[in-house]
Amino acid sequence: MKRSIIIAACGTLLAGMSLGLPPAPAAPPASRPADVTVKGTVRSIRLPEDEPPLPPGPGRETAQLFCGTCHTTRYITIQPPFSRATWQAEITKMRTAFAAPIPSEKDGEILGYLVAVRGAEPKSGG
Amino acid sequence: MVDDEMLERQRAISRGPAGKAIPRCNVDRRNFLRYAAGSLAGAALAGEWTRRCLASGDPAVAAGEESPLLRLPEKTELLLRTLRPPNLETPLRYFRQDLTPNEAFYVRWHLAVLPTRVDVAEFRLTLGGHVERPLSLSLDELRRDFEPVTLVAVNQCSGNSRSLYRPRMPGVQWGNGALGNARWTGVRLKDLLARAKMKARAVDVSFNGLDGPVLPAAKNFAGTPDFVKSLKVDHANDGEVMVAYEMNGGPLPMVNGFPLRLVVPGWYATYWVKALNEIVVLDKPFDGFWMAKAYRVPNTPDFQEAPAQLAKETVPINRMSVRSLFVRPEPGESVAAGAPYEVQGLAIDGGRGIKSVEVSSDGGKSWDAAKLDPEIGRYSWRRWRLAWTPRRGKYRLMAKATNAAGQTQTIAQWNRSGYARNVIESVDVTVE
Repeated sequence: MKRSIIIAACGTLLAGMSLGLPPAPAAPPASRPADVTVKGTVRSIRLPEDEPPLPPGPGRETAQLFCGTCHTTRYITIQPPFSRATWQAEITKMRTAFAAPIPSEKDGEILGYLVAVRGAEPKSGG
Repeated sequence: MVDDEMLERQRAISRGPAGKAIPRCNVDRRNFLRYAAGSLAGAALAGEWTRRCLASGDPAVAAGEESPLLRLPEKTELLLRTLRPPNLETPLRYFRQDLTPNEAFYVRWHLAVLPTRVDVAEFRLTLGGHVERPLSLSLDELRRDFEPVTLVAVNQCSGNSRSLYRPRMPGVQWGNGALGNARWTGVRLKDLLARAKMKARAVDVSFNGLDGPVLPAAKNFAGTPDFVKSLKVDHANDGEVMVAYEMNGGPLPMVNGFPLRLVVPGWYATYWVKALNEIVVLDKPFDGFWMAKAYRVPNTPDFQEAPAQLAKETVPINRMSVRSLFVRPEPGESVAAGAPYEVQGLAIDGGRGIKSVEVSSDGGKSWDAAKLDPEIGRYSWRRWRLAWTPRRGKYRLMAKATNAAGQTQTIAQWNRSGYARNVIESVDVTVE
């Protein structure tokens, strides 16, 4: 039998916190979702899935495949523009530090894509 | 606890359908509320505005970057950085209270296989290695057999505010919200170590959780390093480091480390291992990736180095630097001219205690002492306020905290990983 635990939510308390001053932005309604499942002694949640496609560019499928194996490709799209050297260092770090199985002959294609979508001139990249 | 089904699902996400992001806010709040007030649906619209505009206090948004909102199980809507693994930031306005609600507390995971299912009857915390009597403790035994302790402590990601560094560096592009203050209840690590009877000449104690990499080590494959952290044995045994089973009086949300989380008061959150299930006492220094290679800072004052001249020596990041934050006004907020306005913020340090916070509204030429709220505890943040009645104009407010040891904030700072930011805080305000 499934039953749901309702997690105590404190967000609504924020709404009245203006201390006699001009009103602060209101907090959204506190969520009281039945989103933890307790079955016997097992507590579980289900994480949402939201994986936006990478923006178009040469090498997109290769980047999706090799970068997207271990982590969301949002890690690419949330970055500010970086230099080619910075992006190459990221690819190398993924391979050497995190054991990403990226064949080195794929570097050029992946690097080309990263520079195309989040590239910068060397001076402003870092 | 990390089952195959979950692992498979995590992998499937990489090929999953496109999601919908909520567009970032570019509506002026005052104009919007004026419009909404004249509408029958005003309240609903205000809610919609709030939903869309939570990101308005977010520096990454100020820099023109997307900040969709997302709600994870047991959580309210937070600023989404990444979802596999989940990294979500607390909207600034939750910092206008002493304790950060569990549902609003930021979320940070390194590896995409994280516990989403825990059997509380089966779960065991093990303590082994260089000890006389290895332990394997159920959650009931932890609660029943050891004295409970409670402590309010700030938890701040090492990379909090990374997006404010210039030049920028790769990583999760946190604004100021990889931060929270909570009341933690659990048992002293010292008591667990005593029960296990540490052997002589112990050096380090390591901490592992239920999370793991998508590509773990296997035969002839090094794998992605599991997330394991360590403390020197004297630190682990100082009576303050805690294994917490409650956060703000309730269970930890799964994505904040249910059922147990290490609490390392005054130290950056990288040490606060989530879903902690394995403690190992070592007779030699721990050399795992997440200590030896990652989360390291230059061994210089304020962890400074220059992009063109990186520091040669680095050390594991450790105690939190002194810093302050504005929580009111938020970036870009409009303030009414000629009316009293209470500027609010908070200040943090590594446990010596905040002594003063000064605020400038003239670019640092003059500073006024803010009024500190009562101290909650050495490791809590300290909130502060300052009455301000500004004339029309554009202002850059600045805040500078100093702790009991005389440590204060720096004028400019950079390091390669964007850690331990403690630059004097500033926020731009339009008074009209």
